Amino acid sequence: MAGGYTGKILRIDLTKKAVSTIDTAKYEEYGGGHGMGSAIFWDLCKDKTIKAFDPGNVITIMTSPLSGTIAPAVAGRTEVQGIGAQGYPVEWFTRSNFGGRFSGNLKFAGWDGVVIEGKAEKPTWVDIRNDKVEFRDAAGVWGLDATASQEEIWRRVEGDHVGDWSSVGSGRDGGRTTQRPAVLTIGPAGESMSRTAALIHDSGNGAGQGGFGGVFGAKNLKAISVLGSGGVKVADPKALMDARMWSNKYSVAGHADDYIPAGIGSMFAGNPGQGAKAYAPADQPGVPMGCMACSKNCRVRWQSGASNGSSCVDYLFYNSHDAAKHGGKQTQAVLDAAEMMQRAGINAYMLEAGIIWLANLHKLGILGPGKQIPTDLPFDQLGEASFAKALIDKILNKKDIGAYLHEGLARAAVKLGRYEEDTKSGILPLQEWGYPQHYDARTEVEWGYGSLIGERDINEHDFNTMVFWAPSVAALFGVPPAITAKKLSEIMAEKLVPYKDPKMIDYSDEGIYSDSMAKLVAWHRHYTRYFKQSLAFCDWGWSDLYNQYGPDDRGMTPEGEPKFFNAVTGKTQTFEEGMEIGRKIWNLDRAIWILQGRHRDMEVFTAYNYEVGSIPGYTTYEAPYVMPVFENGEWKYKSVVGRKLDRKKVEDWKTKFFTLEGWDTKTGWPTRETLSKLGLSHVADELEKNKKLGS
Amino acid sequence: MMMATEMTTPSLELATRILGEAGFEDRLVGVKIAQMGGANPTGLYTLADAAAFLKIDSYDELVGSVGRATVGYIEPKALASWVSGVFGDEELAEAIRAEAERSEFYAQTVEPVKALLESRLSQCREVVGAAEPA
Repeated sequence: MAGGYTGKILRIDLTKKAVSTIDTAKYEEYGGGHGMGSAIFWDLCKDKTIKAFDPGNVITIMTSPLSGTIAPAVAGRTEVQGIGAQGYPVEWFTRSNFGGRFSGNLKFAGWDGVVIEGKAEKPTWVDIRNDKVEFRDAAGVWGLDATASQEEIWRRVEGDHVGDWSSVGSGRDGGRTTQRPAVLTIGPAGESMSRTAALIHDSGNGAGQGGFGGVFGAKNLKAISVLGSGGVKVADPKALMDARMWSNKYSVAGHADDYIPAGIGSMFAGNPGQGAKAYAPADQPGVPMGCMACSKNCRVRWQSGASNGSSCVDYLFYNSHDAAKHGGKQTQAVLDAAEMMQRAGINAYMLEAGIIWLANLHKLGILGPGKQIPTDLPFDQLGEASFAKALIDKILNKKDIGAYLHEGLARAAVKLGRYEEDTKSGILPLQEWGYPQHYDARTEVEWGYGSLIGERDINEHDFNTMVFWAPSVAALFGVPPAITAKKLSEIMAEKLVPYKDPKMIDYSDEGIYSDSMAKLVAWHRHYTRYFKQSLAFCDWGWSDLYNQYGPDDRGMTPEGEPKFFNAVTGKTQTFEEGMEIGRKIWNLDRAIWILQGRHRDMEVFTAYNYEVGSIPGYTTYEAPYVMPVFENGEWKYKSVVGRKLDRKKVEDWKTKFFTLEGWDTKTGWPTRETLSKLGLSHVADELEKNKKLGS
Repeated sequence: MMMATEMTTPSLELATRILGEAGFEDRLVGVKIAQMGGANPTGLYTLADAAAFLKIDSYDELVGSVGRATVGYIEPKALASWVSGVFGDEELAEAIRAEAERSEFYAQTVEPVKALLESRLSQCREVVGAAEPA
């Protein structure tokens, strides 16, 4: 088979304690990762209406042909799919992913992915050493936190030679490796089947959204450990090396002598390890760290060792509370809170939105000792590590308010009788499908629409960085953005193939409901489904549309992605062909959701998105949300904060989007013609059988 | 810390109010923004909350790095209205408005306004402390 693939996928039946293989070639047309995962799920999960914790749920953990190679900001990502426990009101088939070195080690062991079926009779961990796969008794591992679990498995695999050579049979270097086993594990949250439990790997890598930690727990699966001594066969090593050196010109690493300190937030050209320093106490040294083969090294190891490798919302769920408690300063509390969250294996997004919500209810006098919602949470300690510990302990033990939060925010709010009121006022900022607002659907609509027509917070920053972050920060500092709105629209028109419509980034009050915005969302869904989630290009490196080091500010997209893919695989795939595969995967996912009950009438944001234009109280403006708009015949940047969505116009936009995608505008279901053109006739047959084929 | 505008010493009654806590409906809403995490509205109930929340990392950190620098954003005019309307401190409110008008862009206001809040809090603590029985 083509370079980059090992040729086989490991299939694990926990019920029967049996392993078998799937030929990767059968699913090669999907590229890898998400596409293969969706296709395998389609084939193996016969009843797609089952619940997440049903033993029949099929979980795929997939690599990409680029995993374990030197492709930058790609090689370390692993894609996870299956029916998730977090989605509300339906437990949608969903995805998550994580970084680190798991995918590379899986490839080195000879596997393109792992498929998990059934439920183990008792707590189990799976021990993969090259082609040898064993089911291990998890006694002594079950009950450990996510860090201790990995340490214990390392000890069991490496024995008394921890950190030294391990012999794993045949392969490169005589079958020996100095790699530690790469372990994907759950913490206590997963063991207790929390809907908000994450999968954790090494330190700071987590697949949080979706609740797959709870799904592992339901399967009695504590961890998967993999140790490989092989390599990845690259079709054209010189082309791959050339591509890596070419990409270096687009990264800060290639510009030591002409470093540009402030771009406009180009994804690929970000600085190694710099940003996380904002979270640590000022006097605490740290060093950059990154995922396998990545040039960005966007994470940090701290001197204290707490929260090593964490980034993003791992800190953000607590950093402002820490600062508020400590006179505006960050202290060890934020690192300790992140460490506790990682060890427990809890989704940080739930904690972030959850603490905001609980604090609001507390101040309203609804939640507290002897209140309508009783809790002894020590709000006077909010900002200290002790508050984070108390909250996390309550969730893990399903005690007090934790008994509700264990089920995730949406279900907690429903059980507490607060869902309707609090998502209407916005004090519980769940935007769609029970997922916390990440970026605002009222302003940055491509994020909201993508999440709504999909099944979760998309968490894809391709446009967000350029259209919101960079111009908004520039406005705060009174400087013009490094690139004009007009030029940005021109770059987008060049790069967003096949649509090539400059109005695609028009976020004006009219633009957000336009055909052009439908194209932007379609481009984004197709691009991410293939390049980002199937080939595993990291969200923090790709797409590379704008790049301050590129010729005339142009980044590597759409040239870069196929350059790496073709060098590794030996294929001659074009970017446009990749986008079509993305469309195919997107339609396949859509079909699964439809079998689960999806209809366009369900695709509605929570009420605050339509009814609240600004935060109540003494703030009449949110932080400036400056975005490119095309108004009165010219491009400019403008703050669109305070905007509410118009229900009818959102519905009209959905009709435009469904038309563009070739879906039935009344139901949002794909038609046979659309599916057949994509090579999904068998999917059309299944939808028709279930009376859910669009017409 | 930057020098704050000199403000007259508040009465005990005013100082006590200024050190008090707003109710939920009267809260000030700041927005914590970070490139990775998005925008999160944060309820602020005391002047000390607001002073601690106000923050802006450098432009280079915010735009040039990989996205974890943060802004604790409070709209200055809303802050002034809150200080005046909820705590009755017209003098501080006016000083905040003046600082905002003096600044050419938002980032310039952060440290001076933060200094104003901290200075006022310090004054109030002294007044209330002096009034407490030894």
